[in-house]
Formats: sequence, structure tokens, C-alpha cells
Amino acid sequence: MKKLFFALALALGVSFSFTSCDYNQLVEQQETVNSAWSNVENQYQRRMDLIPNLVNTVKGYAAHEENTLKEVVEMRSKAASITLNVDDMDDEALAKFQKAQDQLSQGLGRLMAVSEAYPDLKANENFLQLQAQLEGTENRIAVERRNYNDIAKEYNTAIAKFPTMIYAGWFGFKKKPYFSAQEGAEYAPTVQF
Amino acid sequence: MKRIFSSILALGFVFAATALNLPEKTDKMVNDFAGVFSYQQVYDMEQRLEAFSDSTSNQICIVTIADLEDLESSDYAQRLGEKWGVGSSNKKAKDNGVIILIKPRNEYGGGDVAIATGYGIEGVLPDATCKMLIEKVMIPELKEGRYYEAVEAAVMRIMPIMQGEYDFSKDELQQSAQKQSSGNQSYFWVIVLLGVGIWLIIRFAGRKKRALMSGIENAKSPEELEKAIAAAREGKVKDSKIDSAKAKVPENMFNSLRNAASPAAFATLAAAATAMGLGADRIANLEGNMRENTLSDLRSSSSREEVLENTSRARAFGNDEAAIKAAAAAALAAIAAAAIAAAAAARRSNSSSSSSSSSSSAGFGGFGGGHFGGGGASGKF
Repeated sequence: MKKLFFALALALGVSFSFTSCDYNQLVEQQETVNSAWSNVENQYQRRMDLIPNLVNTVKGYAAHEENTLKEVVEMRSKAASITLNVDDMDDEALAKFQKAQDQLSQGLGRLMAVSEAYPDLKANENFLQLQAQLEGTENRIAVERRNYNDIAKEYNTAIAKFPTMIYAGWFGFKKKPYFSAQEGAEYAPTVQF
Repeated sequence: MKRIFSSILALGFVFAATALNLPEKTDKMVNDFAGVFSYQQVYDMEQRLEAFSDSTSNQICIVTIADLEDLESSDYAQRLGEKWGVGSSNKKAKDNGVIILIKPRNEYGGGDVAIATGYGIEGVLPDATCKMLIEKVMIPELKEGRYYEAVEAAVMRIMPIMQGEYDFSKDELQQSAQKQSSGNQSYFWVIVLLGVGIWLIIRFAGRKKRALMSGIENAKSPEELEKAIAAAREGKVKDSKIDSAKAKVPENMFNSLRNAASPAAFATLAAAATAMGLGADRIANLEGNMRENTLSDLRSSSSREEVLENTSRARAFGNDEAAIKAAAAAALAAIAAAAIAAAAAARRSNSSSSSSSSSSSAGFGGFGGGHFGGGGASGKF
């Protein structure tokens, strides 16, 4: 009888240690999502940092395009003002953030299209460099958004599964939102030589 | 309508593009899927790039493809690099891969070229440099249809740039990779210790009681039996367990009789056995067979000591010398043969285990699992 009691106690202890493994795994997964999110933020920030230089370069050659330039500057500051707290993200907050960034993308697209009409600008070394950097950054943003979506999907699946779903709420593991498709933002084609 | 269509298309790209038909990795540095290089060109470039990979761990992968499947060339190149894992995953030379992708002018449209850099190369080969390489070095050649020359010119410039950042040979990386692989063993050990604890408890719990019960089972005379039962009762062994131990006694007595060392010992044990419940006819039957039993025991002895013991035993139970000698000889021969077989088996297992640890450093080992973040540049021709 005593042996049975011991065995039961041991079995319970072992099973508890396995569920605590689950908790640790959730913590790890959440941190992975957070780091994926910060990667996305970094790339968006990189784009922000390129814009002042770009605006100045274009201004030097295409002063007439004041409106387009002003638009870009405005949208940039609007996008910069929307910050997201990674622990507190929900679908709404992310949608707002994404909308602002997508509008900035559209503004940049228009700026690039407009620059096509200025051959001096197109030959400017600085402009070419900035353009290459901008293209690269847009690529990186797309890649990191895709990565974030994949990782968030894994995390959301993990906290929704049984039995994890029971205690995920107690410990504050919330569902993470996804990036949605960009609204028809076709970026300008690259300059041809 | 177009807007809906393009946003549906974009949605497909935002979530995992599993419908995409990227080619499977070939673990070759030159992949001429579009067929624009000659066999000799592929061979030459492959040698050069594999050697570069072996001596510096940097991996430059060339891919020509006929159809970009509606993706931008830089997007396609990044996805391909990520899928194939071009570049190393070793901490010392992390993500040091580059993909040069060319889609020639064909029925699917104009020409596209892209250079995609792994995370680790983005620093030394930034987007602007890639753009310059594409526009100034590659596109002039590509426009003339000189695909190999374009690639060669780019590769010649890229190699020293990459080497400036990473210059580790494969062996260096292998050694550092082995150090990294200690991994998360803490959970493993917790489970092992738990298992050992459980095993120990099961084994040692009730050891005393089991000893008392075996005292009953192995009693060799009625007096021993009584004493053992009394001791067991004192040690709080349950009555049911005592009874089941008692039930095993006659059979144990029979076994002891069977293994008796001499007719005298047999007789003593036989008396005790009858008293403890072993059937008299069984004892008589056994007595009759003891002469043959001891002879066959001798024949099946498995060591020299056993042979000696069983020889005197067989003699005591009345076997004649000739039979004893024959049986002993047979036993000794069998023992010797067994020893030779065991030695041969041991030698075979030793040699097989030593030959399995062959070296793996010879030759290009394929892509190392590097990652691509979207850096690089692209162009059209």
C-alpha cells in the first residue's frame, strides 16, 4: 500500500514537471515572436532613416514636385508617431500601424515615379544609392513581415491547443495579430540603364 | 477588379507561399536550370565556387531559371537562398551566402538579374554595391547574351569582398560546431534522475520482507522451515505471502535433490523432503534416474571447475569410469570450442566499431543552412 502511494506521488511529480516544460516552451515561443516583431520594426525604422536624405536629394533637382515631397514627409512623421507595444498588440493596433506604413509606401512610390522625369536626378550617384537602399529595405520589410506572420502563427497555434489553452490565459499569453496584405501598393519599377 | 486581384495575390505572398514551385536544392554551386551555360562553363565555375566554399566557408550560388513564377527576381532569389540554406549556420561564419539569379530573355518576358545576400554578408556587400555590380558589371554583358561572362565578372569581384569578412576553412568551422553542440541537456538529466530514483525505490522497497520470504522458500529441513516462518511472522510478512512461500518449498526441495552431490546427501535431503510435503513416488523416481542425470550434467558442464565437480559427483552416483571419461572429454571439447568462437566474435565487433568513425572532411559538403533577409539588389535587361 505504501509502495503504491509512493509510486502515485512520483508519477504526479513527473507529470507536473512535464507541464512546467510546456510553460517554459510558451515563454520561449513568445520571446521568438517578440524578437520577430522587433525585426519588423527595425526594417521599418531603416526605411524611415533613409527618407530625409532621399527627400533632400530629390529637392535639389525636382523642386517643382513640392507637393509630392511634402506628402512623403507628412506621411513619414505620421508613421513614426504610431508606436506599438509588443506585449499589448491586438488586431486593431497592428492594423492602424500597418495602414500608416502602407500609406508611406504609396507616397514613396509616387515620389519614385515622379523622379523618372528628371534625367539629371536619375544620374545622380547619391540618388542611385538611396534608391538601391530603399529597394533593399522594401525587400527586407517584406521578408521580416512574412517571418513574423509565420512565427506568430506557430505561437497562436500553440496557445490554442489542448491542454495548453487552459492555462495560457492564466499566465497572460495572448494571441498575436497578423500582418494583412498590402492594399495594392505597387512599388515603382527600377530604373533602367 | 484589378485591385482585388492584386490584393488577393499579395495575400498569398504575405502568408507562406507554399503554392510556389521553387526548385529543390541540388547542393551544387552552379544551377543552370535555364540552360544558358555550356557544360565546360558549369564545370569550371562549380570547381571554383566549391573550392572557395571549402577554403573560406563563403558560398556563392549561381542560379539561372526560365520562369520567375510571377515573383520579383530579388524576392525569388531571397526565397531560394532561404530554402536551400546557402551559406553557413556556424556562429563564426553565420549566413555567409550569396545567390546570383538570372532569368534570361525568353518567352516569359524580359531578362531579370538579382543578387541576394545572406544576413552575414549584408555588411560588406550592401545593397548599393550589389546594385552597382548589377548595373555596371553584369547588365552590359547580359544585354549581349553573354551570361557566363556576366556571372564570372560578378563572382571575381564578390569573392575578395566576401573573403574580407569571412575567411574560415571547413575544418575550422567543423571544430567550432562540435563545441557548440552541448545543447539543452538539463531536462534530459532531470528525467534520467527521476527514472533512477523510481527504479531504486522499487528495488529496495521491501527488501527485508523479500529476504524473509526466501528464507522460507529455501528451507532445507522442517526445523529450518518452522524457524523461517516464525521469523517472517515477526517481520510482519502477510500470512498470504507466507503461505505462497510455503507452497514453493516442495518444488525447491526437489531441485536440491536433483543437484545432490552424493548418494548420502541425497538420502538426507530425501528424508527432509518427505517431511516437507514432497511426494514419495517422485523421490523414488528421481533416485532411480540420478545415475544418468549426473552423467548428463557432466557432459553439459560449462567450465573446467564444473567438470571436476561433476566428475566426482558422477562417480559417487555409480557411473563407470569409461562413461565418465567420455563425458568429461566431450565437455572439455565443447568448452574449448566455445572459447574460440567468443574470441572471434569479440575481434569482429572491435574492428567494425573502429572502422565506422571515418573522416567526413573530404569534398564539398553542400549548403550549410544560411539565412537570407532580403538584402541585395536586382535589375532588368
